[in-house]
Amino acid sequence: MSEDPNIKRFYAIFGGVVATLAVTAFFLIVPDWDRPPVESVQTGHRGIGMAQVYNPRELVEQQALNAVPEPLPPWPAAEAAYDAEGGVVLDRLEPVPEEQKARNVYENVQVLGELDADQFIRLMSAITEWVAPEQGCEYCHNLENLALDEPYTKIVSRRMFQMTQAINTNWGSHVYPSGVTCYTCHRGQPVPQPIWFRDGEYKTTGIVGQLDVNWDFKAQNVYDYFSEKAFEDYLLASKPLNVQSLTALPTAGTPAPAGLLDDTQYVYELMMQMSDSLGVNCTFCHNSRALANWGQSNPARSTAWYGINMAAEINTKHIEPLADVFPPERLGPMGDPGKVYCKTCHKGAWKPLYGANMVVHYPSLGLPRLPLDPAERVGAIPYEFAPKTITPRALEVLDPDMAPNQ
Amino acid sequence: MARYQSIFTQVQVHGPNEEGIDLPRTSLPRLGRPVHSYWLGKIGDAQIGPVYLGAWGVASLVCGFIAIEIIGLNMWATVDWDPVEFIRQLPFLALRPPTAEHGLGLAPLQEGGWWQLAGFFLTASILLWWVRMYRRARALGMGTHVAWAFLSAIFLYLSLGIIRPVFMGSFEEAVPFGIVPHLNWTAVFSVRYGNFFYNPFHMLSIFFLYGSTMLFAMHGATILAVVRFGGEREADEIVDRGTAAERGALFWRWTMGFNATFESIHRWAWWFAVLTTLTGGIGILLTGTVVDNWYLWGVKHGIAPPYPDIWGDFPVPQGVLEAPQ
Amino acid sequence: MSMLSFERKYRVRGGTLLGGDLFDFWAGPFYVGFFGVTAIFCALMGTLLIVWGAAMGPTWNVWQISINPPPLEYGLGPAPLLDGGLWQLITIFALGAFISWTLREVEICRKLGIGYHVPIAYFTAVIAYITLVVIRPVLMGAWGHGFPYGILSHLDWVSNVGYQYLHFHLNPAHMLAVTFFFTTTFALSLHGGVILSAVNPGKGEVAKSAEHENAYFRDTITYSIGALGIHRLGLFLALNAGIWSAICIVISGPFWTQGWPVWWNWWLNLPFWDPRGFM
Repeated sequence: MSEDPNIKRFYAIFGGVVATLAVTAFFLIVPDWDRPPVESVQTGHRGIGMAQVYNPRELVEQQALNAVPEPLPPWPAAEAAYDAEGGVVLDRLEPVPEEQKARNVYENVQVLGELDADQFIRLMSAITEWVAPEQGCEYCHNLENLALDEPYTKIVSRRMFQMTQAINTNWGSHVYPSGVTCYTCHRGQPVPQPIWFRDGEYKTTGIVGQLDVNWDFKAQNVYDYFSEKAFEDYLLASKPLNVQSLTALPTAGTPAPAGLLDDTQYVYELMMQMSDSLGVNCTFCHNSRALANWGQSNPARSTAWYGINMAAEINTKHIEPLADVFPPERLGPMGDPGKVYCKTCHKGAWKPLYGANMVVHYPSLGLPRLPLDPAERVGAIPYEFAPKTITPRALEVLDPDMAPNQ
Repeated sequence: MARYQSIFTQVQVHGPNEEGIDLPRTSLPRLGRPVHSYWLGKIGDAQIGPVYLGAWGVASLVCGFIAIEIIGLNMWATVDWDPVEFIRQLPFLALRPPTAEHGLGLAPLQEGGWWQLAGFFLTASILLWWVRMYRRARALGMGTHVAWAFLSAIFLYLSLGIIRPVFMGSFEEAVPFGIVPHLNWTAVFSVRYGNFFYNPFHMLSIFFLYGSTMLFAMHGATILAVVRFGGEREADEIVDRGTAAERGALFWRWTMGFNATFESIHRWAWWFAVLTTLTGGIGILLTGTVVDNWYLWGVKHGIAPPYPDIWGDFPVPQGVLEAPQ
Repeated sequence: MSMLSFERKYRVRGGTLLGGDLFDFWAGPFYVGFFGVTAIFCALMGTLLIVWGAAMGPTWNVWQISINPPPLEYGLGPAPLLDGGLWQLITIFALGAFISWTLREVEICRKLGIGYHVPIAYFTAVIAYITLVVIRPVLMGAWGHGFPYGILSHLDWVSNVGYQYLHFHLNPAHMLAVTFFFTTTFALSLHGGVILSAVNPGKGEVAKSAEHENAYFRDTITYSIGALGIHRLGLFLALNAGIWSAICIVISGPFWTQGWPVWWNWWLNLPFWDPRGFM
């Protein structure tokens, strides 16, 4: 069939136009684009690009996910308050009579034993709601005999009490003033999400392939490609994070440690994971022209620095020792229990639960305090450091406390 | 209305194939029967081919093929030889250089040795191609300007892949193969060496890169604007100036007080393009060898602007490393 | 006078868009015209305001001088002069100067009877500037998202805005823009090189022309786009570099608020990777 060249030309042009429109439509529809209006908060000097950019519709969705459960009716004797300087006042606590203490009323109470027995039950009820609302008491207790150290989850939860108390008592530099409770991470789930495990060994078939690559075959998200080595190095082994030279020129006689470029990749991955965890970008903490320079950083960087150290302590002191307690199905490929990183608590919010203070209703979990001694008061970020030039609207969504003009 | 439309060619003339200029006796014959593409002819020459292959060309293509095979097979092995996953994950797959512990030595194949082999064959391919670009120009009795410009790009490639790693004593410093991985490398490299925006040779390289783009926009637009006077026949206008060259020159003279000629604009072009990679390569070679932190280098030389502090003092964690202010 | 040997016959009346004959004259080698007057006025005002801003600022060091846009809190309103208002004025004068320059180029094209390709190409660059300092700030709701006018400070802005999206190299439009920049420069080196090599073949050789240029690229890379085509290609590549640069920044913020790496999640989750994805 011989066709008129004009018709062929028409089909070619028509096809080209249709294909162009189809490709354009594909890229407009398929990726998960945002749209204006967007909300932005300045986090540095004006005009140098230091700003957080939010899609307000996503913030609204996220706020619903961070709703705080109603506290149980208060225990009258256990009201706690903060004094004007950020210290904790507990002196209204009535001493608990010895025979009323939980350790004397119940058997095998190794932590929280000093509590009044009723207060103890109140806390247990709250925890059930926070951690195992569907499974109930039997998730951590043998209902035949509550005192038995089985199932294994009871041993785990005992360790988690100690951990929560340690975080609140020792890590005011990161968690003051809101503190943490079980709910901060668990959010009604027995296993908090997300958590991470050590990378498994990489196997190649034949001589082709690379040994140092642990590829995530099932990656659905670009973050899945990030090596867990960043977590292992900095949230477990507490490797120093600074990868930049502190001098302009190489220092004679002290060559840079080998492998620093590879380390930088892992630090970068850790930082991106942190940003994702907090729903912020790099300029929340850094002026990126000098990432390592504290003098040009925001106070939030100090809080974050303590957060990294806190996560490392949680992982090494409280979670890794539980490796023998967990059943195999709860362990990772290397036989290690699931560990925390920033997102385990933050879950996309720059402060977990947008800074809602739950622990004040359960002071037996430990009350965070702002270290008042200057030598001790390192890294805590009091609110007076709110930036002077800031768009208030988005901050009000995030945290009314931090909005200026209050 | 004038028929000299410059966006696309409206009337295509079909003549006999252009077989090309006669080659000297030492050259092999050209290969392939030319084909013509109507749609290609809309914007440029419709004829594709013939091509001169020659020994250097064959050697270069073989080396390039080997390099791409090594890279591709390693990537494919990474996804356990699954063809669908290979396509799906291809943008993220990498062939990485050896880790620091192997220094400049030959690494075992699976620990960076494949990267070294791929790099060797890719480099061989590129260098053989350079010889080809040089020899083809000579065979046609032309200058070798294209080959020397190509060498400037090769200089940047070699700076990244071998010269700087040798200076630094480790192949760890070299660039991985892979689409996203090489982009990650550039970002990580800038972080490690304290902000590449403060590297003056990076500044120059970008200046020439943008400058090249601006020059091609200016030059391309000027020629297209004077095509109605035959301005695209540049070599002829260079040796025998016509009204196209005069109008093109006057346009710039009247606009900005200065003009190039039809020949000198190509010298501007050549130098801008060549300096892009030349300064870029210098910027790479100085990094880590002579300068360890480009931001602090900028502070040292007084180029970093001061910004008011809006946060006030806050406690810096004790025990963290801090550069002197 | 600063006139080329052949220039006099081209210096004719007419072709102006505005002002008729009033500004239809040359100053030295420069053509003036109505838009030359507005261009020089705007450029002078903008420059003087920058100098005044520098005088009000902390430094005369040319690398460090910076005129910054207002804080975000002013939104799309006017700001006090020393808190970003100066930047707003300078931006207005810059736009005035750039648009005047474009129209002046149009007048010169008309005078010389040549195509409007150069003003169109120039205006593409102006659009990229407008995208940076007008369109994107308006979409984001604050002039404070514009970039500061300073040699190093604009680099600091580029750095911070890049890190606002964690890893800017994974911005798909940035990838395209960079590719176009590199390709343009590559094509420019090939074009510049081949023209020079044709007319500068070395001692004893005859100067060559388009046939040799074509033969060189057919011999080496199978295809020569030709003397006319290379200028179409070069202009196309160069303009795309600018256009995609503008796109890559205008989508960062107004249309994408997260890190660029996760933009690519759609690719990893296309339904046809796994046939079960369709069910």
